[in-house]
Amino acid sequence: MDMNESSEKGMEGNGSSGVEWQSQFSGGFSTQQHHAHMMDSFAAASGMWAAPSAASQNMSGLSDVNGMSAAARGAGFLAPVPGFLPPPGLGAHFPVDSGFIERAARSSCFVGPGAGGGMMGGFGGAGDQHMGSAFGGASDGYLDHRRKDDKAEQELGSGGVPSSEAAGGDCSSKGSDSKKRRRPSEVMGGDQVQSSNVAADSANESAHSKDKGEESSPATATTTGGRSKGKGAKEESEKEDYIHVRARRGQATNSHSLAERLRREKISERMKLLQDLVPGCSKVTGKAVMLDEIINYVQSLQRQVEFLSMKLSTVNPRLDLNLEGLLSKDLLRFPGVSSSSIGFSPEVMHPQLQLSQPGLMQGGAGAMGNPDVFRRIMQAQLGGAKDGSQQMPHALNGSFSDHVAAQMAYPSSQDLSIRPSQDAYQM
Amino acid sequence: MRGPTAKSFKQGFLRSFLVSLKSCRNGDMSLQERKRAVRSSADAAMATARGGGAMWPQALLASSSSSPPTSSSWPRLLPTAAKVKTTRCKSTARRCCRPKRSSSEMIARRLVRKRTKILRGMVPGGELLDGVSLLREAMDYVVHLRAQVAVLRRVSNAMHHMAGAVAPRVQLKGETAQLSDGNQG
Repeated sequence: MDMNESSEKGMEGNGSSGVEWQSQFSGGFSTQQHHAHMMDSFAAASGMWAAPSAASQNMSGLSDVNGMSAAARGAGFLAPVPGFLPPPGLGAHFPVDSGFIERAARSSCFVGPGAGGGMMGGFGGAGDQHMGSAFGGASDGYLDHRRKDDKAEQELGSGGVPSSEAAGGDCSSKGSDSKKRRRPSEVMGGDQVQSSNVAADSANESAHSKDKGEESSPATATTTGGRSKGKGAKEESEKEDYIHVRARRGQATNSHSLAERLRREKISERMKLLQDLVPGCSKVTGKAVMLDEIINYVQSLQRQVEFLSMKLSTVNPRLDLNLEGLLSKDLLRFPGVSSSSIGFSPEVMHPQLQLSQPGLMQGGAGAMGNPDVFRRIMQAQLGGAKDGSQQMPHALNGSFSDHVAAQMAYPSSQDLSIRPSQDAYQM
Repeated sequence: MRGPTAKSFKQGFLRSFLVSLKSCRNGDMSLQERKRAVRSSADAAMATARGGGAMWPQALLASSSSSPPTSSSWPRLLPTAAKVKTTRCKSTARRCCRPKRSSSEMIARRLVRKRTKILRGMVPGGELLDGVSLLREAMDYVVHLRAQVAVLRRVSNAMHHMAGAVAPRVQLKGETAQLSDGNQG
């Protein structure tokens, strides 16, 4: 695809600038291979990058100003912000929704490419590290939360798990911050830890007392901007941890409360992501109301599934292989052409089907992908639970691995997991 | 290239779903049973098509197949550490946070907790997850639910079309005409 090729070229260009970026930042950042790795996954996943050239410009601008004048950097960074993708140099001007959620998706724990089949571990583990460090570099200039960085930095030293989560959280919050920026986006001293984004996010959402704490000591934060941020930069940042902690005002510096705050920030950042998923929740703030909306939405979706399955069970079973193949082709040919998001609108579907059917006359029997695996599952389900318990995990693993092999599951599934608006309301 | 992943998920889901529908195509079930069979096949298809990126597919399959969740995969996935972390954080939060005593905050916290519990019950496999990952799982689940609803709607419309076309044999819509001939022939 042209887009992929161009985007890959853009990524390579950005990768090189990303390298010099890292060298300037001196530390903590993962090596370039992480960048390349992430970029590859991103290239594979999104493929919708409109302006790789613009992205490279952004990157160069960033590396130039690196560490110099915060304002300049912030300005250079902020220009493409609305559509800026977290992976450095891959900023494309998406529609805000799509870019936002895609960013969140990439940065989220779903991305664990190295995590393989590891589920929970993989969630917060390797993928986050990759993402987090690269994003940490890219997130500079987003906001000025150096203090939060420091606090997160200290916390990185204290706990391994929170750091990885923070990384993932940061990456997601980066996107959310670009979308909902309540803080003035001044620069960043340049080397924000990933958690800076999370911190920024939480600060945006939670108490405004943090604002006071923040603005009260901007100078110290600027000077003590942790140069050596990053996942593995604990040793380097230790000497700065002390200063960072002191720079923080009006906040408890207990490690427990830090962990708690980090967790809260991650939760708030995810709530923001969910806001984009759930329709009609862009104006809602607050965890309780958002949770309520999410619950309602999930309930409505599940009810829709019930209703549709009831409808399907009433239809006269006259399934032919032709129909299945044609339906598969139908989905293939009209990927984005789908009915509305939520409402029941069968009449909208009808014209689409009529359109597709004449064109699919010679559709042969569709190739059933994994019928055996699935049949095993279904037999287990329908026939009896005895062999199901043994077969199911195996079938699951088999099908999962198949899909992993076939679909590049991680980037693909995480792309799907939090898809942007073009799919969000058209799926 | 538009999102290939959304399409691939839908395709996989569709294939699995149709396979399962064929396998349970015996007509001696009552309407409720058939609905339940269709619904569970849709859930199983969705879980299978999702792949190994989230926790809810396994939980969904476990519940739909009604096998006791003591299979080999479960203990590996149980995030006991997460649970411990959650409880610990709650207790330490109460200890370390400044005692604000503002009732509105407590009300909000109570609401959030209650709703989180509800969400846990709705997302398959949510009971094992801690607050942070629960939200992520919910996001993933919502997206795939949406895709599932879309595919189900298409399938049901297509089948209704077919059923409608078979009887009168007047509508000459591409393959439906062919199919009806094939069926009746």
